[in-house]
Amino acid sequence: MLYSWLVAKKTRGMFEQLNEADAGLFIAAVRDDVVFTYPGKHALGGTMRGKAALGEWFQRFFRFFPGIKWTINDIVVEGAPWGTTVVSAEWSVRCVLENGHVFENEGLHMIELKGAKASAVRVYLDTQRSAAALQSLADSGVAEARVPQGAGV
Amino acid sequence: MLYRRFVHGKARWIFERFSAGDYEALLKNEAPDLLFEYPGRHALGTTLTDINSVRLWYERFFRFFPDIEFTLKNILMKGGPRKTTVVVEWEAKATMPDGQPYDNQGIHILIIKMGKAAGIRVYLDTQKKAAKLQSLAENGVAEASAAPITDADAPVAA
Repeated sequence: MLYSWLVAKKTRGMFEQLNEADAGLFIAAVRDDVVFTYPGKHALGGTMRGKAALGEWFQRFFRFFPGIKWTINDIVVEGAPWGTTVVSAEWSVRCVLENGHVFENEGLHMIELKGAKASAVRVYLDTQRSAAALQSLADSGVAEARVPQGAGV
Repeated sequence: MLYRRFVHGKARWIFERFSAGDYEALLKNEAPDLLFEYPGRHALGTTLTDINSVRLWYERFFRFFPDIEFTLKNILMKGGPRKTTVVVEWEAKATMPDGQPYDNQGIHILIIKMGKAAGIRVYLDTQKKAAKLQSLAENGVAEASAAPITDADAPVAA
């Protein structure tokens, strides 16, 4: 119980820092060989392998969504410190883009921890809404929002 | 620990029934006034609060994905019999009626109160879902581009 509480608290702290456009805690909490999956056919969708690729992905993410705010709705932790722990963080998110487009979405991060660090993070959300937000940025002249995500950023 | 094992077993059973197309078994385990949320702008994306409209939704779902097969990746839970939150991460594969293959990955959040699902919330790749339904409509299945089912579509009990 205490372990679950601690893991939930740490997860909440990561999202609080993301709300300051700072991915530092998030990146510090993953293994060097983390596999990060973000869904959708758009400039952010794809699978990032390794800390460096994840860091570049977050830089691009915050260029598109400056001032984005997550509200955590629920965190569920399953597992124990000596094995694999799986954490789900369900959230809603809101951001007014620089072109005035209001981006709202709901989703979930599924985080697999091995030891104390994340080996895999998979994001689930409404990809139609993400694609529409990035399309609106591309239409406003943000060329980077048009670039399809490949194997890495 | 015993309750946790029970809930994990129940979650596996639900998706085994789902994969078998047995939505009547699912409906028997859902509260009459459940909150059912399925994301996306397409013929299946909707929010329902009446089990009779949820039945219409399942009927439509299985017309589009008759042989859908779920593989569970993770089951997480918290809470007790009064209120349990279950998070199920899955992969799904199906062959659609026009022969196109379909696959997706997603999450079901089940809120279970006293043994019945009081809430079902789904997260998945809506772009992929909408694209597949769009091509199904183009291949002659008009319902795939129909307006989403709403509570107003539920048959009124006599």
